[in-house]
Amino acid sequence: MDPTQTDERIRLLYRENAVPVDIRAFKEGLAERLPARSASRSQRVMRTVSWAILGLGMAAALGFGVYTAVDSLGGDQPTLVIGDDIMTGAPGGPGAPAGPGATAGPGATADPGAIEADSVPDPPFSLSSDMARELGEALLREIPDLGFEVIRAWGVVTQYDPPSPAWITLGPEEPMQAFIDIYIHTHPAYATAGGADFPYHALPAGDSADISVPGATAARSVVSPAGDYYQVVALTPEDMTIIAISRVTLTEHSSTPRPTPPIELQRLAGLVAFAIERLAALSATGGGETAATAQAEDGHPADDGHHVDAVSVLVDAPPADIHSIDFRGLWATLAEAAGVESTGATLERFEVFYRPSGDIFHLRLQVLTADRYLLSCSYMEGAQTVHLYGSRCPENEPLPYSSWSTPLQPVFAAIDTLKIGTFESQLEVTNDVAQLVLCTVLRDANGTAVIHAPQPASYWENSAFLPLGPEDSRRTAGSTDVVLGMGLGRHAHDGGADLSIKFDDLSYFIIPAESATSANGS
Amino acid sequence: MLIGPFKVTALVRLTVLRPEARDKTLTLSDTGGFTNLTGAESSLDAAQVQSFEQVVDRQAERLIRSLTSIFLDPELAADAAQDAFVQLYKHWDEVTKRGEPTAWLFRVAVNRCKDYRRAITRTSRLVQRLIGAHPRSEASDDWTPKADFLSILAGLPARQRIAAALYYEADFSVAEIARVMGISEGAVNSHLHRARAALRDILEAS
Repeated sequence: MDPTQTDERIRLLYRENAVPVDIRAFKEGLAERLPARSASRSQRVMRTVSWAILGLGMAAALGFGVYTAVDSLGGDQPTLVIGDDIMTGAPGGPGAPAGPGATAGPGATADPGAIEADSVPDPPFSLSSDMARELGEALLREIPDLGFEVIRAWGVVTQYDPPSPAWITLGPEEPMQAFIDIYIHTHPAYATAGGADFPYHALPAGDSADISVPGATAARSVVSPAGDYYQVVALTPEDMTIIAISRVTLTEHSSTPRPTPPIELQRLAGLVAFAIERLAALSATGGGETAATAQAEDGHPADDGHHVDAVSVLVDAPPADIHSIDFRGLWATLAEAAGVESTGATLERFEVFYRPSGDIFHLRLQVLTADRYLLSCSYMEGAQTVHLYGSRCPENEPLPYSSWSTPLQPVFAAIDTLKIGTFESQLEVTNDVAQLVLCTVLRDANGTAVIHAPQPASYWENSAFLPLGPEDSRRTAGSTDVVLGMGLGRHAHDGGADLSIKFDDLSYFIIPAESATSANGS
Repeated sequence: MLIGPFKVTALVRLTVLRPEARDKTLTLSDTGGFTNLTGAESSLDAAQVQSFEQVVDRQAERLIRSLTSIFLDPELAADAAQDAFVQLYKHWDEVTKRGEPTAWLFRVAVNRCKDYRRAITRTSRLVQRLIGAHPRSEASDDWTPKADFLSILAGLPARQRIAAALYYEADFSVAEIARVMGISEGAVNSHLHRARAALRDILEAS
C-alpha cells in the first residue's frame, strides 16, 4: 500500500470513528462563557493567597480605600468583588468586566493591564543570572517581565529588543525563524513519582515526577534550512504557580539574505542509496520487515533547480539490528554515501540510551563534515525506525552554540576502547535507563571549560552544557581527551503519557587521547 | 455504596473542569449566531464578532474531533475547545494581528487538555484511594469508536497521537502541525511516520 493510499484510508478510519458533535449545544455553552471576564476560581484563589502574603497592613489600607471609593460612588454604581464568587450590577448587564466606574476589592482585575488568561504568574519571574551568563543569554535577561508579558499575550511578546546577532548568524539568512519557548511549570497539589503521590515540596530529592524543573525554563530554538537548533537556556529556582506554554517570536526574516548552500541531488541520492544499502544489510540479517522512505525537507526554489535544503531518511529496521549498529561503520558509510570528506569531521552530538534489557531506547549521532554537511542519525524506541538527516551549513558561519565540534576520531576511538557492548551488560537489573555522552572538554571564548553531559533531571533535554568548577579535574583534560558522561537512572511519568528521566547516578571518566588512539591501533 | 464509580468520576470532573456558574448575558439567535456580543461591554466590534463566529463555525467541529482522538475523552475535548475559543475571543486583536488564528487555537486547546488531564489524573487518583473507585472507560456513551481504533490510539505516545489527529482529523499540513506542536517539521514527520505504521495495522487487519 503506497503512503498516499494509506493516508487516505487512515483519514477514512478517523472519519468513521469520529465523535458526534452537537455544534449548536457547543455554541450555546460557548455563548454563556464569552462575556464572562471575571477571574476564574483558580485566579481568585491565587490572588487571594498573594494578597494574604502581602500582609494585613496592605489589606487594611486597601480595605479603607475600597470603602472610600464605594462610599464616594454611591450605592447605584456597579461593584465588583473578587474573592467570594459574587459579581453584581455591572452596567449593561451582570457579569460584564469592570469598567472605569467599577470599584474593586483587593483581588480585582479592574486594571486594564491585568491579565485575563488563566494561570497568571504573580510576581513575574526573572531569569537566573548564573544560567543566563553561562549560556550567553543576555538577551533573555534584558526582557523585562518576560513571563508576565508572555502569559498575558499567550504567545506574543511586545517588549523586546532586536535579537542578539549571535543568534541570528547561525545559518543562512533565507527564511529563518528564531524563537524562544517558555515553559512555566506549576507546583501541583500532588506530584507523582515512582507510582506514589507526594505533596510537591515533599518529593524525593531531585525527582522529576509531575514536573521536573520547578519554576520556569526557556528553550531557545532556531529553525533554518540548515537545521533546527534547540537548547534549554535558563532556569529559575522560584516557585511558580502557573502552567503555561508560549512562544516568543524573535525574528521571522533576517535583513541580509544570502544564498542557501545547496545539497546537490546526487548527495540526496547518495543518502537514499545509503538508506537502501543499509536496508539491504539489515534485511540480510533476517530481522523481519524493513522499509525506507526518503524525502527532501524545506525545499526552496533555486536558480539551478537542483536544490534542497535538507534530506530526511527514515529506515525501518528490527530492534535487534538497530541494537547491533556499528557506530564507526555507520558514520563511515554515511559519509561515503553522502559523498563528503571524512577528514576533519567533528562530532556534534552523540547520545545513546539503553533499556535494562540492553535494547537501545534512544540514540543520536550528529557529525559535521569539513565541508559543512551536518549529518545525523537518530533512533527512538517504538517504531523500529532510524532517522537519518542531512543538511548543509553555510560557509563562514558560526555553528550554533549547541554544537560540540568535538574532534571525531578520538571519540570514535574511545567508543572502540570502551566497547559499548560492555556497558550494555553492566546496565541490567537496577537501572531503568542509562545514557552515555561522549565529548571532549570544550572551552568558550572566556576560557571556561564546559562539557556536554547528562543532566540530573530534565524534562525534554537529557543533557546540557555544564561548566566545570575550578577544582574539577576534568578541566585538565587535553583538547583531544574524551570525557565520557554516564547517567544511570529511571523514567518518571509526568501524570500523562510523557516521560521524563531522572538520573540517580552521574559518572564521568576521562579517556586520554593516547589510550584511545592506542586502542584504536592508529 | 451510594456513590458509584461513574458518579464519583463525574463529580470529580465537574469540580475540576466545569466553568463556574456565570450570569448569562448572551444567547444564540434563532439562526445560531451569537447575539449581544457587541456594544459597550464587549471589546470586539460587530465585524470582529462576526469574524470570530466564522472561526467557531469553521473550526469547532474539527477541533473537538481532533481533541477527542488525541485525549480520547469527548467531554474533555469539548471543555478544552470552549476554553480555547474563550481565549481566542479575549485575545482576538493580538492573535489575529499575526494572521489566521487556527494554529494558535489548536495549540491553546491541546495545552488546555493537557492541563485538565493532569488535574483529573491527580484528583481521580485521590478519589480512587479514598473510596476504591475506578475511573470509567475512556469512551463515552455518545462516542462509540471501534475497539481496535481506540486501542491503537490509546497505545500511541501523546505526541504521535497529536500529530496524527491534526494530520488525519484536522487535515493540517506538516508545517501547520509543526506550528501547533512547537516542534520542527522533521520531528512531525517522524511522529507521523510512527503513528501511520501503527494505524496501518488496523487497515491490514481489516
